[in-house]
Amino acid sequence: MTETELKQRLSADVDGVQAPPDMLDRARAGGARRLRRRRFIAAGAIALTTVAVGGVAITAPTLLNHLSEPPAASTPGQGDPYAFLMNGPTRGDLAGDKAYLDQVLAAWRSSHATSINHSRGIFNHLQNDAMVAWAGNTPGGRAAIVVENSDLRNHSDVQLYHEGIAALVGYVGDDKDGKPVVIGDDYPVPGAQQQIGFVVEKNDTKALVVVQLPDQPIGWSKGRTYGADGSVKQTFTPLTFRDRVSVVQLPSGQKLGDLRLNRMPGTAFSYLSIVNGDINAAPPESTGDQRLWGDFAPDADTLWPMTNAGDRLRKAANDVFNDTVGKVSDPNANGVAMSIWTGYGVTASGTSVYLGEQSLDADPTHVYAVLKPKSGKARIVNGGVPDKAAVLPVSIKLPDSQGWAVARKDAQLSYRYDGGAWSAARSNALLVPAGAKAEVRVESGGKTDVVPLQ
Amino acid sequence: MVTRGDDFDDFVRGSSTRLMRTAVLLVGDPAAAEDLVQEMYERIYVHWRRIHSAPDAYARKTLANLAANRWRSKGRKPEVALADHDRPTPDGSEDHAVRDQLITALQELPPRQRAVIVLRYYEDLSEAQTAEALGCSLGTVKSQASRALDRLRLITEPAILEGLR
Repeated sequence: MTETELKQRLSADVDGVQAPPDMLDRARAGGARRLRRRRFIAAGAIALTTVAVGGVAITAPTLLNHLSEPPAASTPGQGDPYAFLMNGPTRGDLAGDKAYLDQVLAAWRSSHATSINHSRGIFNHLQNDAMVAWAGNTPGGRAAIVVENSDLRNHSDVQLYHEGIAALVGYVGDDKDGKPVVIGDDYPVPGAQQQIGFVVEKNDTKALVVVQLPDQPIGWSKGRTYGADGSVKQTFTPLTFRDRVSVVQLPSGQKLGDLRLNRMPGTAFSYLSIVNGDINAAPPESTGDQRLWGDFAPDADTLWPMTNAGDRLRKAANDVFNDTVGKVSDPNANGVAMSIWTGYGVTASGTSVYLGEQSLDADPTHVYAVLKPKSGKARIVNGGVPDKAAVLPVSIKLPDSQGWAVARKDAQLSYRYDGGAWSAARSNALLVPAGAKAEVRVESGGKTDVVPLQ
Repeated sequence: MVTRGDDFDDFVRGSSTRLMRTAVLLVGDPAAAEDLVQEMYERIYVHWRRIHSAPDAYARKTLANLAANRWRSKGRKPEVALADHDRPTPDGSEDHAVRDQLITALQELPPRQRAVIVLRYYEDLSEAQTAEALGCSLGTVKSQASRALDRLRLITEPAILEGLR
C-alpha cells in the first residue's frame, strides 16, 4: 500500500459526498442559538435562585423540556436489546421485597440528572412505566436491573436505529450505607458498545452481574494473559444465566479494568461492556503513555544497532518488530501503543534480533525480543514489564544460548565476562553474546553502573 | 443579536463539502457526519472572533475531537458497521461495493487510528499537523498510523487489498 494509493482511495470513497445546501443557514442559526442558550441558562440559574426563595419548584431542565417537540408515536422496534426485559414480572430472589423494589425505583428516578447520558435527552420523554426487571442477592450485595421505555431522538453524538420508543436500562447496587444507587444506564444505539454488565461490592467482595442476550452465549474474562512466547490472550468462560441474569463472584483482588465480556467463543471483536468495568474503569487516557520510551525529539534516531553486523536490518527493523509482536497480540485491544524505538542486530549464529516494546490500553508496557533465524519461524521472547527506574530497564535473555539483548535510552553500554576487559561501548542498545559471568556497564548522565546479567 | 460577517459565510461555503467528506470518513455515516459538521460550525460561529484568522486548523481539531468524543462518551469501542438500512443505496457497480467495504473497514478501526488515517491520508496533513490536531505526540501518530494500516489490511476483503497494493 502506498500513501498515494491510499489517498486516492479515500478521496474516491467520498467524492460523491456534498454538503447540504442549507449548511450555512443551519450553522448560523445553530451558532446564534448557542449564544442565546448560554444567556438563557445563565438567566435561568438566576431565576431559579429567585423563585426558590418564593418556594416555587421549577428547574432549568423542566423549562428546556417545554421547548421540546412532542414525543413521536412509536413502539419498541428492531435493535432494542433491552425491550425483552419489560416482559413479565420482576425476577430474582428479591422480587417479593416491595420495600427494596420501591427504593430501587426511587434511586432510578433520582439518577437521571447525573447520568452520562442525560445530555443526550434519553430521559426527556420517559413513558413512566419503569419496573424492576430483576432484583437479587449476590456475593457483592443486593443488585437490581430497572427498565423503562422512553421516546428517544437522535442527537449530535447519538444516531439511533430509529427514533421512537425504546427500553432504557439502569443497573443498581447498594452504596456504602446500604442504600440502592444507580451504577450506570444504557440505551439501544448502533455504533457503540452495549453495556450489559455491572459490578456490585459489599465487604470487599465483588460480583459481576450480566444481563442475558437472547440466543447469545456470553463469556467473561478476568483479563489479559501475557505469554512467555509474546502472545497476549483473553480466555472467556461461558456465563450461566438464571432469570435472565448471570451472577459471578469475582476473585479477590480482581481489577475491574481487566474484566471483559464477549460473545462466545470470545474470538471476535467484542461490543459488550461493563458499565463500571473493563475499558470504562481503566480508559487508556487515564494512564497516559505507558511506554518505556515514547518521548523522542523529532530528529532523534530511534533505530538502535546492537551489533556491528546487521545494517541490512535497519530499514525494516521497526516494522518487523511491531508486525511480529502485533500478530500474536490481543485483537480486542482498544488502543495499541507500538514501539517507537527498535534495537536490531545479529547473533553469532546468524539469527536476526529485534528489540522493542508494546503497550495495550491501560496495561503496563511489555518489552519483547523478536528472533528471526536464518531459516524457520520467527520467535518472540517476552521480557516482561520493564522497571523504568532500573539502571538497565531492558534485559532479555535469549533462548538457545544466544546471549542477552539489553537497552537503556541515552546510555553507553558495554559488556565483559568474568571481570575481563570491557567491549567497545554502544549507544542505547546492545546484544551480549552468551558467556560466563557476563556484566553490562551502563554509562548515563555522568554515572557508571555495572549490572550482572542473569 | 450577535451576528457574524461575510467572512464566516465565506468560510462555511468554501469548506463545508471538504469537511463533510472528512466527517463521513471519520464516522462512516453521512447523516451522523452532517450533524457533526453542523455542530462544528456552530462552535466555530460562537468562537469566530477568536479564530477567524485561522479557522481551518480549529475546524479540523474540532471535528476530530467531536468524532472521538462521540465514541468516548458512549462507550469505548469503535462504531460497528452500519445497520443495513442505514447504508447508502448501492449503485450496483463493483466499484461502489469496494468503496463501501473500505469505509466500513475504516469504521472498525479504533477512533484515534481512524482519525490519524483520515487526517494524514485524506486531509493530507503532515505528521506534526496531525499530532497537533489530535493533541498527541508525533510518536503516537506514527505508531497509530502504522497499526491502522496493518488493521486495514487484516479486515478488508481481498478486493480492497488488491486496490491498496
